[in-house]
Amino acid sequence: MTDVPKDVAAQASALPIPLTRRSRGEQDRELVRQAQNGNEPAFEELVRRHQQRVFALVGGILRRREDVEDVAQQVFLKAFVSLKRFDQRAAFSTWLYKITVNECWDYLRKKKVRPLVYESDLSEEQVSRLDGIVSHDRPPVAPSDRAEARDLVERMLAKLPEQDRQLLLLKEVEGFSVEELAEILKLNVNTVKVRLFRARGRIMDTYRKRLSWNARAAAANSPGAGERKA
Amino acid sequence: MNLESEGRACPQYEAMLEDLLNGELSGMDKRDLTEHLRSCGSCKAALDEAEMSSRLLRLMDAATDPGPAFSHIVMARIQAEQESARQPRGFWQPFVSLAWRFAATAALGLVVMATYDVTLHRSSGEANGVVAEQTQIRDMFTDANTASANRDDGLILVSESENGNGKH
Repeated sequence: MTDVPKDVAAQASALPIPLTRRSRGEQDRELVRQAQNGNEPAFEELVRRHQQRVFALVGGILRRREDVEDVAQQVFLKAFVSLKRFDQRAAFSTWLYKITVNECWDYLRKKKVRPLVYESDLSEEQVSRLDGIVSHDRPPVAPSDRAEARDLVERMLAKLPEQDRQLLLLKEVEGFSVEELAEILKLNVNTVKVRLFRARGRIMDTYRKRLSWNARAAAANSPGAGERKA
Repeated sequence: MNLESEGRACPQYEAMLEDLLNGELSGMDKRDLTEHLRSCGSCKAALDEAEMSSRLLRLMDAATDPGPAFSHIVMARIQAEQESARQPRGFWQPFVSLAWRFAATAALGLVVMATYDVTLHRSSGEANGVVAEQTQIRDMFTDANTASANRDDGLILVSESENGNGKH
């Protein structure tokens, strides 16, 4: 999203270097400066530029679509109120993402929201279908299959510790880089890498446990199982 | 076969394996890790599992762009909040807030006074009790003939007088 609205562009054209020819970071800086001087269209442009990432971050942490928009709106309201105090030593995006993470944690604390918990476990058929997708790297084509596969992965994610789940979603699904995650979560870059790699192992453990459990259940239910026991 | 332990990598290579997975490993580190992977089954298995986890997670949908309406909603909320902050306060508002402050101060003052009063009464009551007891003991020794030789005798006399046996 590098398009600049006409009103902001008109103001920016008065600057020595046109806004549209600058890098994204420089454009953000200029928009922040303008917004700090009371230029609301400049702030609106900042909202437009960062709303997708803020949605992704909130979605990765809360994972409840119905809450994402409310929290995202709250994030931008807080950013607007605190913008005068933002000294631009860090990038605007980093500052905004920190507000986002804090807002999400506040929200979870206030609402005492628990991670999504699924009552029923994965069926044998569902696990084998998922195994077909993962082993052969064939993404499901039919929308209903895709929806089911997503639901299965969501169930597996729900079994992970909160931090593992957030890291995996933010990195693999929402596309945040390791460096961004380290900055947002106030962690060392190496720590993020190690935690991510271990979280991958844990989700696969959940998956493998289901596979072996289903294989045992299938063997026990097979016609020859009773005879063998006898 | 222990599937959980199979996927565990050597701790010193975990960060590098994550880099390799993300296509961010190069130079010496890449050569070092490739060499290690040839001889370490645990790290190789962990890398395979990590690749599978990526495939699994790619099935999930990223958050969708909220669209242009979102920024308009945010700006409308900001303007509404600014508007409400700019709203002139009612004529009685300063008086009401002053009255609330006065009431709160008065309530606090009352609590402090009541606490002080209770504490003072308790300590003066204790002091009065001690004085009364001392007077009672002194009264018993007004007669020089019955005056006890020591404190123990005095206490015996007090206890006898309380039981009604001390009357002469």
